[in-house]
Amino acid sequence: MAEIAVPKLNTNDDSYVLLAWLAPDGQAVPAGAPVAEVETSKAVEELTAAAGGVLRHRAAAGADITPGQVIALVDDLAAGPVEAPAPPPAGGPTITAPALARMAELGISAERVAALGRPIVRRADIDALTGAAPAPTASTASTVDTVDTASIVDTVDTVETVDTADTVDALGGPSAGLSRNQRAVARTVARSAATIPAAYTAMTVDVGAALERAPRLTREARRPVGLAELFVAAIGSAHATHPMCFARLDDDGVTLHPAGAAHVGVTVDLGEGLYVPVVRDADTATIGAIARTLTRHRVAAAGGTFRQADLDGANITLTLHLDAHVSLAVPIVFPGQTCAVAVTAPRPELYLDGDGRPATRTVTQVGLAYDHRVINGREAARFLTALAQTVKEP
Amino acid sequence: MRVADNINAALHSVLAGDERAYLIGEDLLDPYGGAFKVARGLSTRFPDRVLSTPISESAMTGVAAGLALAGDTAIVEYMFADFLTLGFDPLVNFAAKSVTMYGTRLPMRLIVRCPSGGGRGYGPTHSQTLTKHLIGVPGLAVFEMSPFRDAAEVFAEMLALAQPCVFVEDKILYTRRMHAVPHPFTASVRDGVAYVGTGEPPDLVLVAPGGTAGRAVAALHRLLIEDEIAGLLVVPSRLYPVSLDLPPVPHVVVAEDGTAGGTWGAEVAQHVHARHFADLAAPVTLVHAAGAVIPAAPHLEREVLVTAGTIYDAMVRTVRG
Repeated sequence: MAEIAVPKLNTNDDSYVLLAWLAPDGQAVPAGAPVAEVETSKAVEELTAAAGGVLRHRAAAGADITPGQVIALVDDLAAGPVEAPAPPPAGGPTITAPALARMAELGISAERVAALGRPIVRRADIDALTGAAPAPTASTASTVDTVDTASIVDTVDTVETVDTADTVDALGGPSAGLSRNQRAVARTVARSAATIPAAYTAMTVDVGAALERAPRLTREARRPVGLAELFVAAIGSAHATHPMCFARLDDDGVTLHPAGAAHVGVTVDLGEGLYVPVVRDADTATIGAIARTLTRHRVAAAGGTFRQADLDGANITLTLHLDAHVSLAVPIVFPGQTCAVAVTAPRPELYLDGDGRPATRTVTQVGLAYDHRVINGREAARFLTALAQTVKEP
Repeated sequence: MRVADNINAALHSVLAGDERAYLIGEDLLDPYGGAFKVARGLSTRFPDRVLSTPISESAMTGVAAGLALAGDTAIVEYMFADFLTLGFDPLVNFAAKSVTMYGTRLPMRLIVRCPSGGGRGYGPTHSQTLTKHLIGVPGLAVFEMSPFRDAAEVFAEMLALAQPCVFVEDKILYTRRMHAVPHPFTASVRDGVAYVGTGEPPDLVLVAPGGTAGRAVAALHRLLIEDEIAGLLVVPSRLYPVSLDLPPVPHVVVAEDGTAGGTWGAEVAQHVHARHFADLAAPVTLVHAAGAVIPAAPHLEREVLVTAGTIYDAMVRTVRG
């Protein structure tokens, strides 16, 4: 059985309207068939069934729906119809969190509480039901979230509630779950730490000429060109001379797979979670094409509207640490890759020029974290030197 | 029905019912129908009375005030309430004063509609709530769209006043549904004021303008579920002049979306203190946005603007002391 969940369709709305069902409840639909029309504040989008089967509506036409909500199930035809759980009965009483806790404590069923016929059931009503002496109202952890209000109010705030409220750990302190995005980050970095013996080399790179070039390139590309774009291009152009930096080492620790092209993952974090979308074929792409791709990725990161294809297939990663005053960053090496390049914030530096006179230049610290099973410090230094030279004089 | 459609219907009924009514603003003509599509269909139906103007709030407000002075009905649509600062001169120095400064009261049927507030990532100069700058101007009334009242009724009230009115429309409402409240809350309207409660005598009154109402209801729902405190939300359509009739409660909280200092909420607090002082256990609590520019990044914007969480925290602090 497959689920049809509402994707995040834009940045403006936190809920949409399920305009109409294009396939009726109980109808068999093929994979890829449009099944529903969803209206945002700006557009109408069609949702499709990812898998074929019998469509089971789980929301009514005209209802408010929120991103992530499952609005339909698709029963696998081969497996026969699956009896889906009935939706929760509507019109039951509102039971407060302290009342729910008291019900659990005293083993009182929801039916008995519903039989009270009250629209709102508080802790005192539960006590009255059993004749129990009112217990002191100790601070009971809420096990109720307010998701049911999401359809009419700010989901922003209800999400906040869900994220922070729900549990009390064994020591009595509050605890909260990682967000879905951060759980994915956690899996990746844990696997990297467990499987890749990484080493790190850093180099000071003069980026003054590159930053002077950037405004002209921005005008030409009609997209922002900065250190991110220039380093993606530099990494791409180093593919031909440093193929090992783009190779994938098998889990057997012996077999190497060289990469035919440079696909550069770039970290993007606009506060809505860390994403590493990919700039494909960076070895042949123009700076304009790279800038257009990265702009598209940044827009997607702000709204969480990436398609999976945007995020798959990198064979090297560029991690950006351009917040002011960041001078050193050691990235993890992504599982399946050999190298991760870290670029930190540019800063002015005093140095001695060719004649031994003090002068200033703009530098950044560029670091390379690498799988030491695949390459060694010499190759790392040569790769960084190649990047430095390309950035200085492409 | 969504709020944007409700306002659209109200505009249709004003223009259909009054041959001297005009709608004036930027990019109003179909098929665009205004920045938030609230003017959709109007230019097709009333081609001579929907006027698309150059980008000048000063000019469009001045033209509208001139029409109102000559006895017509003029409704102005701003793209963003932030640009009230540009229309402030014709609005305050010309339109509001014209009601009284010619010796006898001169009816001025003028409504300035302002898409206001944040929550959509539009950044520092397209997300503000500037209501406080309109408070206390003689001859100028301030109203706000609420999901609990039909805009057509509110338009009729404003036009009956026959004085310039600013109508604040929180952008976040446009895609919300009219009249939606979560169980066990219900909404009712009395004398132009919406009341959202559980039917029980409230422990607390929360006063909020229409744009904040959704967040206010979410906060009250959480206050009921987690703290078993019954609150009553009071949403006046006319923000200024302030006139509120509250039940006797020990605690009153006002939640508004602008920054603190010389605000509508302070005006409400003064009003409540003067009328209900004997009932109150504590001074009225005000909830505002942070005193900062409004960031465009959604996670930073949430830190600055009033959220359901901000309102909930303020209510708990107020009741618990």
